[in-house]
Amino acid sequence: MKKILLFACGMFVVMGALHAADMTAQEIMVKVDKRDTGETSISESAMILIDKNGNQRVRQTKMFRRQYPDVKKSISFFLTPADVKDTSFLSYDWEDDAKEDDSWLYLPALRKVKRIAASDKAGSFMGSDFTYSDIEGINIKHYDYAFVKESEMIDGADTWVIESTPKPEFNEKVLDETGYIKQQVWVRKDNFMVVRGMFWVKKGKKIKYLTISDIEKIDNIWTGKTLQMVTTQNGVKTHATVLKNQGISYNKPVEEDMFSTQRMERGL
Amino acid sequence: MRIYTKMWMPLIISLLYIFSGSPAFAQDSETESLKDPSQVEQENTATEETEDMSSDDTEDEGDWGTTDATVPGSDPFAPAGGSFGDIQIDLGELAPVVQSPFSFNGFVREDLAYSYLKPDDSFDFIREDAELSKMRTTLFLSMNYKLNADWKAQVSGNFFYDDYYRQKDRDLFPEATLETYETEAEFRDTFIEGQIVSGFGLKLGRQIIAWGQSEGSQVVDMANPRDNRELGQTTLEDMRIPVLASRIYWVQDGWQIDAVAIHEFRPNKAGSEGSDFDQYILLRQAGLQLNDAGEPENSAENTEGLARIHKTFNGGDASLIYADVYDDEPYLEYDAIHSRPLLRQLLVTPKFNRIKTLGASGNIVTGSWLLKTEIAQKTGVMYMRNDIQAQLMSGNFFPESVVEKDILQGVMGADYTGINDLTVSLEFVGRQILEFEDIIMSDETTLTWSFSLMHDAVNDTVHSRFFWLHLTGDNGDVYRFTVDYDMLDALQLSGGVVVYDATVEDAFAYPFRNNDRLIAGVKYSF
Repeated sequence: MKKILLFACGMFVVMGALHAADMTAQEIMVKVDKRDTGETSISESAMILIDKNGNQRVRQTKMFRRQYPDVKKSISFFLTPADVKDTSFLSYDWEDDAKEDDSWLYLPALRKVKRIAASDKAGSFMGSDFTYSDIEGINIKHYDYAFVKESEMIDGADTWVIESTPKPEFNEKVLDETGYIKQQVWVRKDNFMVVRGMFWVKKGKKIKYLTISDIEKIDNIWTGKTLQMVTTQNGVKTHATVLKNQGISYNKPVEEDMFSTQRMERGL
Repeated sequence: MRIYTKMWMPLIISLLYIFSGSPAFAQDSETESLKDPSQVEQENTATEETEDMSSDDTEDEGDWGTTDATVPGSDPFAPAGGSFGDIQIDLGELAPVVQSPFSFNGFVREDLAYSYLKPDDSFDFIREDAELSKMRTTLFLSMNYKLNADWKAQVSGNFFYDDYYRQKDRDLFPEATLETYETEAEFRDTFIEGQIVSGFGLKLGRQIIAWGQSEGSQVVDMANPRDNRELGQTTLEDMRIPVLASRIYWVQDGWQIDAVAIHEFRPNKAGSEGSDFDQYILLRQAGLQLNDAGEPENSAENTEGLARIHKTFNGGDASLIYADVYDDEPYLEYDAIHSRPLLRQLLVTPKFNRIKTLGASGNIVTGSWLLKTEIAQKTGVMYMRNDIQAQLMSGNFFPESVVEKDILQGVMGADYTGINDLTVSLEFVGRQILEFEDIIMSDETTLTWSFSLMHDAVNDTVHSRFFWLHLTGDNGDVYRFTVDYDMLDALQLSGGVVVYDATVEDAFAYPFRNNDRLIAGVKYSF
């Protein structure tokens, strides 16, 4: 399933700089989607959950990802805090549109791996402002794209502002899988990197604001090392999540058995 | 009226809680306190407009009552590490987790229960009135050592002490009750696990092996006994009891093959004499004397075995399972009768029979539904005879008390997750005795079912659950509603109510129908 990956445990990677003065919004998003993310990646991240009173909870994760010709497999292990330690999340993201993605959650307290229904993806990922669909990505073929602005400067970089709305035939499916009725992203023109996003959540009529910063090349792959998602309701910020990458490497060997339900039980 | 309050109160409470969006109410009121008066006035206007527009379900941007420019306070697009309201996030303070080979964690938990009904006087419960009936302190410790990239070891243990018995007067309770409920210290998951070659692993030691799709039943999930000491109150996390076992597994291309040898027999933990949940209270009430359970010795010849072939495929999982294990729930053998003619007291001995299970389990995901099933045929299951009294009357003082049968068991269940943060689960467990005979005390077919609602709110800090267990036939119902609040990552507060209902006098749950409890707890994890 071809997808735009908005979030991948601390990394946000795009293709190298391209020149595309006359591209359509659709073509730009395809370029964003075809970014080089490496054949594999291993990353450690801190996820900081901040409530409206400023209370912070920190979860630290380690993620392994491997791209196969027909499927992208990823597994995340929670390292801290104690009450979620060894919880893991495994997903298979199939290239074939006809195949639903596969997801499993291992809860160490139960010692049991549970398969997750596809629609769970609209739910919060471990209490954060990111959803499971943010982690696994969206299918670009399900959307129509249009320019909101053809130029807006963000932190000194020129960007396109592009709105994504579900195609009518996929409207219900997209809503089930993401919870969003539409999305808007800011794409840097120099490297096709998304640096901002807005997500309109149907339930509760919330808007979520994504910011990606600390962008640098790691192993020759552009990576956003800090992601911030702020949830607002009626114009009031209600919760935020910051995802800070604490180390990432690309194209290092990751064994196949890392992506099995048995490995979820065994842990790191 | 009793039926209304007993059966529906927990469900109504939980539905009101979940669907009223109580966390949202709290959020609205608390959020107001964050705003200055001008913001409140401006947003009240915006909210009124939003509510007006929401009534016709329009989905333009105005419905959300905001755009980038109208968000009060700091810029929501402020870079991470900047501001969120008045909050400064110092990301620099977060060091990467050091992957030390040694780790240590655990928790301390305090559980309180208040039994708010007077027990039925016609049963010999030691508790005689409504009172605080549990004051348990639990300490769980786990130490893990990673020997190398492929091997690790874990030692964990659980200790609890319940001060209720000292407060009440220990002398009132039989030793069995004190042993079962007052103090317990045991090793939990204690093992060494590793990979011999890529894809081929080994796990030796006390462990939990959770197979199958069902949350609670033991149709194909036969490895571990269950903790049934407090009927319907034990959480899924604490339900399975680890056993000493050797497990080898092989994983390749979505296939997994497991072989398990269990070296330790542990029966289900059950309510003991004198306790609020004495499982044999009806027998004791009838004047029968129970011997201690005749447990199988832990020997080479009593080693239990299990095997599984598991396949993961796109959209589902499937398993084929074989088990040759002891039934963790005893049957009762009437193996002698006192020779004193005036007493004519029967001696009853709980015993454990070996049963063989061949079964399959699987799940399929379709949309918002996870459909689950299990089916198994079991041989060697013991059932009580209903003609024991007739045998005694005919002068047979050593009656045949049980009959061995094969049974079919099946599970059909579904989880629905089409509503965000809410999981609705329904599970039916059916059983049929093959070649049924009229002398068997049980029904030829039985059906148990459970229903649960689980809801997470306020960014996974408030977890509420309603659980309804219907015991087989007319044996009663258990309703449990709990709310857990993660005050901090390390600190969780809990509260809830457990309600029992049984109307038929020979129902299993009938003696316990007045053992409803209000429960509360606090847990600190480290």
